[in-house]
Amino acid sequence: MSLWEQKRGVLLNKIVWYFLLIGIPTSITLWYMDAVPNEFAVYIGALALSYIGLLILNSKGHFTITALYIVFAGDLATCSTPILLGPDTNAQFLLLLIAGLPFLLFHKNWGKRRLLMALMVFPMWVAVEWYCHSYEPMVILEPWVIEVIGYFYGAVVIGFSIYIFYHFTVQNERYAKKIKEQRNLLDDKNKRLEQFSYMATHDLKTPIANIEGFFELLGMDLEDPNQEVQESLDGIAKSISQAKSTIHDLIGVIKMVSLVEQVEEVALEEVMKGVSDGLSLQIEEHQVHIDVDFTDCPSINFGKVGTRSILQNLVSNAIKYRSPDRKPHIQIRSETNDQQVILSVSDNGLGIDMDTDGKKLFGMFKRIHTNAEGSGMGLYVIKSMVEDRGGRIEVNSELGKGSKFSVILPRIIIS
Amino acid sequence: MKKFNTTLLIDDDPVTNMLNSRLIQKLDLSNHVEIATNGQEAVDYLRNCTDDKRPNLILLDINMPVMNGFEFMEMYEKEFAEDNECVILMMLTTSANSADLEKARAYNQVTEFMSKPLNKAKIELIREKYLSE
Repeated sequence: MSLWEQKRGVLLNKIVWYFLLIGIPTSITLWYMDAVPNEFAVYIGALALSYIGLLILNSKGHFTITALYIVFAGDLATCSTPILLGPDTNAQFLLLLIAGLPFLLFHKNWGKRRLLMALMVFPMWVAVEWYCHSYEPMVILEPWVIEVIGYFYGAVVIGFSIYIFYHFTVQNERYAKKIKEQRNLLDDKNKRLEQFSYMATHDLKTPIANIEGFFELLGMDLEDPNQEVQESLDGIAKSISQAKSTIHDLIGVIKMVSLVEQVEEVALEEVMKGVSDGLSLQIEEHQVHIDVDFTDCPSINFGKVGTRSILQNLVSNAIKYRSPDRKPHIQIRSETNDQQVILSVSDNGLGIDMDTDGKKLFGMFKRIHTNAEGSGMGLYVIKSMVEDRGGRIEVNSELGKGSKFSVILPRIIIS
Repeated sequence: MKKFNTTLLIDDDPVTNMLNSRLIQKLDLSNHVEIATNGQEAVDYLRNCTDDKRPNLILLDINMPVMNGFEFMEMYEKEFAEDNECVILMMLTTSANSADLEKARAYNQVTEFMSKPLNKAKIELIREKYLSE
């Protein structure tokens, strides 16, 4: 359940309770007042009871049904009230409560349908006004009753209007403040992490830098080294280079693995563009064809940096471990069902023997094919990140045919 | 071959200082090499040295106890910048930390920002840039 769905569930609940609280006392009052036909009180009572049914549906998560019922049945019921009681009761203004609800109750991907549902109220209003001014109300009430009802509905409309404004301003302000606080906390945490990785590696980098320096001095002092000495020198030079590169990768890993990010809705298309820009040299050099389709699921709830890291690692691996026999082709997809989001990267490269190498794949410093560069850290890092958020990575591969890496994330990621 | 008269090395690691002074000596970059193991010692040296031993090249490390590289820059800017406009001051660091680079840029007196270790290529670069007239 996304954050929006949670909020909507709460809102729907509040609305249904609100109408129950109007409907039940109203019908009881009318029943006892005896000034009104019992059928009318029954009608209101039935409407109130139907809202109880809605509460039950809502609690079971059938938000769309509840929302549609509230909008349509609410419109009709609200229109029927002025027809029944007459326009002097201000009953037609109850349409104010209902008209804008589609925008609250339906997600933005319902698009123009929300506007249409709201605009429906206009012709209803016109019809109601025409009817009320052409015909007598169906229920004739005593004037004082009409007055009381008029004030009551007036108060309801004003109260609801205040509530809606409150909901959107104060609530949003509180929410924005909370987000800002969270962001500050995360910034602090990441800053401390940056400092830590800097300090931790400084004491490792310094002696290595010194070895490198003295090694160079030694080289200058050694006149005409024989072959054995030269081999030793080459061995040392290579080892220094390896040590430096490992430290560099380690810093990257520390940062990525401990990175705690704000979970937000990340647009995959945008991230993918950044990734392919970054890899543009290799993509062009090896004539890689990348086929991207995020239409089923255009965004995921994750961290920005994390998402980029995942796509970057998987795509660059697919390029690295391409087959020399065919043109590299990479397919990137995103799918979703109610429970999960699946982001997959498939290639037609060298493939992996899952029986022998499957377990090693995600280990630190592990590389299966020896013909490529890189530290072997990438998969380890993204696996940690994904698993920290309650997801997993699945690999399907056939040696000589290609591989498919699927990142499976739960839809419920609450930060 | 032109060279610096006096070079001041500011670094808390004695091995690094030994390496740098040996390199400078071997490549004949400077007549004299003076050493300070932290920012405070460097400030004391600058305050008390004679004119002929005033450094024209300063190699400054960032991470040092008592007074680190940036704290030294604060003092240097206040006390010594005016009299030492033609001094080449280089910050040496073990990391290519972008935050440090930005901080270093804030000081006008920092001529260069380089990563350790100091080596022959870097010294030749310094020589070419600042000693060839």
